[in-house]
Amino acid sequence: MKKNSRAFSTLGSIAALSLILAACGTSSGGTDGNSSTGGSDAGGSEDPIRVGGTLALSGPLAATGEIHRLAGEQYVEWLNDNGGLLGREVEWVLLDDESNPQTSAAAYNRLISQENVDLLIGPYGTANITAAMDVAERNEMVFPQHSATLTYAYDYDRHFPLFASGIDSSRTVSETIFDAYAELADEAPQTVGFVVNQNPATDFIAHGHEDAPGSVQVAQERGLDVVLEVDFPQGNTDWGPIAQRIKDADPDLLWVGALGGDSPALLAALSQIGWEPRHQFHLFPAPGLLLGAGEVAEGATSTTLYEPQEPYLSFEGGQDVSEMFTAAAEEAGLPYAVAEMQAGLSWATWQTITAGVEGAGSLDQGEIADYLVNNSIETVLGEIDFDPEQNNYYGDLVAIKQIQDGEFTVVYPADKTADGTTIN
Amino acid sequence: MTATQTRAPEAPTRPTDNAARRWTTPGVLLVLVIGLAALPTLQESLGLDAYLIVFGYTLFFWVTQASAWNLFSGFSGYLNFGHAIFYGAGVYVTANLARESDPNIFVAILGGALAAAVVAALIGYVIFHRGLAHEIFALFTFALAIAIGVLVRNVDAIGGGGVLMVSMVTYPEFLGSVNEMLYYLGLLLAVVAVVAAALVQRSRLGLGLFAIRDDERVAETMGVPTFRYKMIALVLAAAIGGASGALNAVMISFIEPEATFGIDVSVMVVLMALVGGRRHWAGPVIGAVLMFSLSDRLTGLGMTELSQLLTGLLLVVVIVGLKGGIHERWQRRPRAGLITFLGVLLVLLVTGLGGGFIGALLFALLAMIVVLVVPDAWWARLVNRSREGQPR
Repeated sequence: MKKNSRAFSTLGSIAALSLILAACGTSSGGTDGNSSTGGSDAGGSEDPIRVGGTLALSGPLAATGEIHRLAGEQYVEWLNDNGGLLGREVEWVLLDDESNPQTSAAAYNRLISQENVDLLIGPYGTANITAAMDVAERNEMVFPQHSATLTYAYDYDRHFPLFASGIDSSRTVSETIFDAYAELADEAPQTVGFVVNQNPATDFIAHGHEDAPGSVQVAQERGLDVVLEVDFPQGNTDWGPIAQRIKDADPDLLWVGALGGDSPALLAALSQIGWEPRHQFHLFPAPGLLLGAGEVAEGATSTTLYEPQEPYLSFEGGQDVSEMFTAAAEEAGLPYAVAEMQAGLSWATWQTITAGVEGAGSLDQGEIADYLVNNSIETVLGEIDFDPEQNNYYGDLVAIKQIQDGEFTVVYPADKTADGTTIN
Repeated sequence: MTATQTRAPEAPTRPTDNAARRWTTPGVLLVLVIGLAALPTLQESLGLDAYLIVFGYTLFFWVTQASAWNLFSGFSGYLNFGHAIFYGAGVYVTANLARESDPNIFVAILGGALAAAVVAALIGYVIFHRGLAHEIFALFTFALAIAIGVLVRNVDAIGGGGVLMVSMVTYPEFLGSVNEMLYYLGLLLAVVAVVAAALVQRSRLGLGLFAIRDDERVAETMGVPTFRYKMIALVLAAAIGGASGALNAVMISFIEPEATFGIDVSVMVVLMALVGGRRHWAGPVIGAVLMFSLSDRLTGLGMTELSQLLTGLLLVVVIVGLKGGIHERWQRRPRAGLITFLGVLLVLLVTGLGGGFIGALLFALLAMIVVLVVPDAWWARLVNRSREGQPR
């Protein structure tokens, strides 16, 4: 009798599993993945243009991946409300890459060979972007991407980067950070402590690569005393020992190679042992989480390429991304419902696809790539000229923002600040 | 207990039946392999999705890794929770060869196999020479994979300072595009892994490993050279895992220690073998096909998180309801299982209800499992009833 009841439950479980799968298969109507078209003034009888991409919707990069998802959805809605692409509606086929580069590469293979998408947009995260770019290259597809930082590695001629840091990103970003602090003149930091996530993006900006110096080397070149270097694994949860080492080293400037939620966790651990940073920089934190750290994050600086202030609001689409993203983020309950760098990068990447397709007048990948390298593109980051001589990189547009009175504001360089705000 | 006692009892058969049966399985498998090898050429004319090539490669990868794992751990009972060490050795051979120039894929695969075999020989010697217990082996391999990941990250000469990239490899033109090359070589390695596992299973080495699994001390007293057999099987399993890792480096292209030596590969191969069955070479093949098809379909439906949940549920179902794995249960009702699988597959393919070949394959496997878990008493009643209904 017992044996039979066990078999019953086994049979029931399998039947349930089959039913769930069958129901999923039927309800999706053969369209895999999440797809979004937003509003719909575009299109007529023609099939929609399908843009395929992945984002880190789960895993350690999900906090930032969610920002890109919301921004992308808003852009697609805006685009369709404004006539779509080539007069056709646009559909975004979005898959979750779980913050994992291997999953990302597999998903792009699926998007190209099974979903038969017309266009690609890159994922979030340097590792995932790098893995996906190889798939795009093997299929000769145009690959605009938001945020990869390993600039030395990207020589695919149809890759279009929107992380506008120039081709020597580890040096240019580092120089910008220390230039900003140099504005403090006599009060500028003399010692610096590096605490760096081992994620390839943060690791590269901090430590560089072979001939490309990173922040540690740049700090030394500038005569700063590097009193601490600590690396921690992605997804780290044990912040106590790192906090203690920071306290012991007592640097003037705490340079945190942060991603996602690293910064608030580290700051909380520092508060617990009674050490407060005199100056603190955080590389790529999830902005809402850093602001949510409260008083201890006051004065924290970070990099940016877009903020909802002038001059960015005057750039092409600057106002749209700010208003639409904020509304969507508030509705979704995001901790920081303000369009900043990540939302801006996402919007600019979609603007690049739009410009390429509309400029080329077709979905031919070669023609889109040719248009993009031969024309200036107006984006929320400003005007961009992809330069094939520099692997499609161009100028350095990175700015530094700071939390002042509980809000982010751009403090460097002067032409990106509002009303001459300076670093403190 | 002797090794021969571990095999499933077989009904007495006539010599001619034996000869026919001996060649049936290899014959069917040969036809299957020829069909799979022809798929990239016929894919367009048959109107099949190009994604099948990508899906096929990844499936072959998991079949290879799960079969390699099972060849040692399934047969000997020494659970290896650090299979990623061997896989990773292969990955890093290709990645390091790619630092200077585009490597030849065959050199990379041979190098990967060799590197993994050397690592396995060192690990095996340390563990087996000291006669450490099964549990210690499991813990040791688990911890070693993590330690090697940290080591690779911090030794630039191996890990390239955290990230290495494999953009392109060289290979003969007749292998077609990169995806086709991966497909053909992935199939080749899968065949090598499955054939190796089948040959080992039927050899003195296999019998020795089964004896070790049942009771190592008794096996030793019966004259089984346990140290030698364990070393041979571990090195062979590692070489296959390393060769497959070297090829997979081209697929993943972005190489970092955490993803390579993390728990994903190590745990997945164990689960595949558990689900399919560890006592037969076909077990990991069935487990790999079922679990990867399930994961693929759910990922395609945008249900990645549900995929992990259902994979866990499937594992619970199989462990509770199909003790010994799907294959062991299948041996009780091979004809019913096969007819269900092929019947459902055919119906779904013809009607298109499975949502394509991969979905049809998955549902056919699930239907087969349903048939296999029907309790024996019910099954006998069903069979008797159908016989009674037949005209005499």
